[in-house]
Amino acid sequence: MVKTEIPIVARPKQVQLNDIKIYVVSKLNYAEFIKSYEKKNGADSYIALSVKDYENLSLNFAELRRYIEQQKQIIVYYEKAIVPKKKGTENGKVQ
Amino acid sequence: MIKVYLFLIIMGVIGGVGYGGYMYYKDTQERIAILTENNAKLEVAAQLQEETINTMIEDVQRNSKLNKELQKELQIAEGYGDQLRATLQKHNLTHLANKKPGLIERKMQNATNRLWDDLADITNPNGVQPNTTGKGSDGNKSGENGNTDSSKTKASPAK
Repeated sequence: MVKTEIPIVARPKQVQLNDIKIYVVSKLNYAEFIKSYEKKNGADSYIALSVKDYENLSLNFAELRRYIEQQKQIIVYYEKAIVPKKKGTENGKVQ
Repeated sequence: MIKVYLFLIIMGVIGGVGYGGYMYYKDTQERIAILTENNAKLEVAAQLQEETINTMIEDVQRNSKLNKELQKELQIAEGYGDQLRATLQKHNLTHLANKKPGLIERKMQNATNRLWDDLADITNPNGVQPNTTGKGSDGNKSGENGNTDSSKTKASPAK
């Protein structure tokens, strides 16, 4: 049986993610937050997320992570599946 | 004169029988040669067929094994999200954020950092593949809820 050998290509380069800083603010630390935030960032404008939205964001990232991981495993599966088998037998006879 | 005719007849018969025998022998040898050749071809064909069948059986077994491994890995990849959902359901993050914003902030930050690390590991072309499992489980809890120390810790903080 003649099989076409498919070369395995290199994987894409690793992701390089930027750090982000999360602030959790409630009535307990609001004043302190405003003060320290302004001091650190030079402004008092910020983007806020509700707790529910944070949860949703987390779940979205989890979903993306699952997809990446599964996609990767499927690629690994195909890579293993197309690896050519050994052509010699125990007797040294070529099939 | 009769003797001569008789001799000729006998010689003719003997010659005919001899020629017939020779032709029969020749024909038989040719047939044997053809049959031997056919037999050799059939043996080669049978061997090829057997090898093809064996190859197909091996392929089926190999693909079945690979498919099982893939299903297992795909299932493992679901772990992170499942654990995260469980953790978020288990803990009231709003309540915890109101009561202990500093603690939750730290845990969320750690979990987020760990998630970035996990994503970097997952996409590392030279990374170890099989271990995504273990990481995944840990990563889940930690990733979402935040503690660097352990998945559990993270989970707790989240809610």
